[in-house]
Amino acid sequence: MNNISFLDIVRMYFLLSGVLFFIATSVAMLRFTNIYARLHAASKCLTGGSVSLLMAYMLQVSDPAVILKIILVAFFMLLTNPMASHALARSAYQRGYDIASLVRDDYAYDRMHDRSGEEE
Amino acid sequence: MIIQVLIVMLLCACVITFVRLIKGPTVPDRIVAANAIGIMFFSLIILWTYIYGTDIFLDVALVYAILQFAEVLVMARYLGRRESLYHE
Repeated sequence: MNNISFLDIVRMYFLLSGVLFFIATSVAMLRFTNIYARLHAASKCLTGGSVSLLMAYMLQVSDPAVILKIILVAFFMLLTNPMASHALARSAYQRGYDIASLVRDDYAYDRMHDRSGEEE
Repeated sequence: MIIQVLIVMLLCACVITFVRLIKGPTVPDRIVAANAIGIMFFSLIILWTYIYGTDIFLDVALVYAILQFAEVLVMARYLGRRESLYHE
């Protein structure tokens, strides 16, 4: 009321949106039906939530070294989280989990038309 | 005050995700749920920096994220098939 700056409002927005992303992830974990839908929710919402919380913390500190470190951690999260989800989806597909629930299967299309792209 | 409320909400999200970790029908379901809980605890460490007021937890969070990424990659590598996808 007395002195709430614009920066505080932006910081509060990032904090609330980050935690809401995590709650959306947990609801998706509980409600989605197959492994690929859960991986989709986990890959997007977890990245968005953690980067939102890191940006909220970045708006609070004033030390440039700490800001650089936060940017490094956020870049690392943006880089590694989709990579882990992709590796997990690929190995789940190779093992054949929930193949019957797929709507579109581009791996099978490539295999049928012999466009594998792997010369041996 | 609002940081404590956010931490409690995040812990509720962890508990809801833990249900999927318990009753996940397949192994990748459990790995995805464990990964989600790990990133939620990573964010919990970042929220702790507000309460304690130090930046030292940021290093802890970075190492935690690196170890968790390596763990998920190793488990996915263990789970996947050894030979190529297209020659079965």
